[in-house]
Amino acid sequence: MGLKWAAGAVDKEGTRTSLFNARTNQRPEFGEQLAAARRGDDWAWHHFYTELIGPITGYLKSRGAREPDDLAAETFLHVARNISTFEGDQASFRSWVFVIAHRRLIDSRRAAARRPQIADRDDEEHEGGNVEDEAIGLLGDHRVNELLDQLTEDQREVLTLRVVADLSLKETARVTGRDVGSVKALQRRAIQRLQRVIQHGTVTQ
Amino acid sequence: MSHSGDYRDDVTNTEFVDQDVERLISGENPRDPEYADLTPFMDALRSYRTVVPSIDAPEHLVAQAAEAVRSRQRVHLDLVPLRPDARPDRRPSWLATRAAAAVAAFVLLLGTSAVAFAAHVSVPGDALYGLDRALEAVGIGDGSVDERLIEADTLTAEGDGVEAITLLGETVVREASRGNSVAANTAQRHLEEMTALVASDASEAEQKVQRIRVFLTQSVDSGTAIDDEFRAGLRSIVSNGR
Repeated sequence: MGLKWAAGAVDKEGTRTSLFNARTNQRPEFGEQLAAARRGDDWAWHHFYTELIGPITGYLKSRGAREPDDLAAETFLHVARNISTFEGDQASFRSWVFVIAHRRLIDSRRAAARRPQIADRDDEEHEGGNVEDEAIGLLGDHRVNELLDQLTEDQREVLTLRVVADLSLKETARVTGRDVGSVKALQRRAIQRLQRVIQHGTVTQ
Repeated sequence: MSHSGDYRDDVTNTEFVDQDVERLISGENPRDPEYADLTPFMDALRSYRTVVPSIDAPEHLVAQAAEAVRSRQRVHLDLVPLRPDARPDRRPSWLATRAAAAVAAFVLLLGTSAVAFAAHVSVPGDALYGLDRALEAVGIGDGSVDERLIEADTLTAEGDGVEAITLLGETVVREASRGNSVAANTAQRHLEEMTALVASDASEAEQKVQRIRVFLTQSVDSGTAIDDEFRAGLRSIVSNGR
């Protein structure tokens, strides 16, 4: 736990050239790790866990999932159950994982919509933000969510995939089923909207 | 948005903004000072990458993932026929179908507990079918694939082949998602035989089987929930071939 996922290098076409380049020199080749994961080798799944669980949880949290931890664990197990069906390279794998996370999020929202709504005490607990983050100068979760709430669902999806999931333009396009141009337009509008909100306190169209 | 003309000579305004957006996303300082206000927000959002989830026993989750893969190998998960490019494993179907229907009829005659039994033998669309599934959920009634096959046979005998095939598709996805490859493949074979039975000719049957396979494979791969939307999608393919 706690091992950090860092951005891999991205070439000019937006393809990730090194999925795990923040790891130590002992990192196995992706193909080797994937083959081991398909055999059910514990070490391979341990690597996937340490590298994926943080970004998956962060992505789900930034998308407003009610139980991002549970959903991240569910996503991870889904990846395991379906690893035999995956075919592709590192970039495809990363996109594939976030497609699964995205779909689990949608399913959980559908399920939640069918359940009776109960007041969530956690909302009150989050009101004051995260003291630890604020102490080191980061905006608290509450403020981050407040700003993300100003975006359309599409803008939020694209921005969180780019920033939190650390996907390239091309990978984000793959996950969202859009072309690169649309992804660029959505992230541009998201940034411009956020800039207006931060500067003026309100959204001015 | 205003920014220095130094940068605008060879790029359009949109390109300039896009370049700044990419800088913000990658953690660099934007060239346009007006975007600098966004840096704390982007830093905070970027920190979400390293969220440590509150998972009680991560090592257990890792072990569970590895075991999920190994258990699938042990039962020789035969999802290959589900792939769009695979050929179906065809078996004689009439005898099996008729035998299952006969078993269903025989079981009907032997019933003792009126309501529970009526629920047990109910099929999708019956008033008591919900009770049947609820009883299975609490362990009353086996809820096995065999029961689903019998229900499907009964539906077919009643002339509702579309509902029968939909029920079997649901069973394929549910069992495959649980890693029960034998059950999933049994249901799939039954589904394909039944599709051939209700189709008007071999060509139509083959096309429908192919489309159903693609739909089911995608559903399993993406972890689609078995809900009304899933059933409507499958029903549409089965009934219209779309």
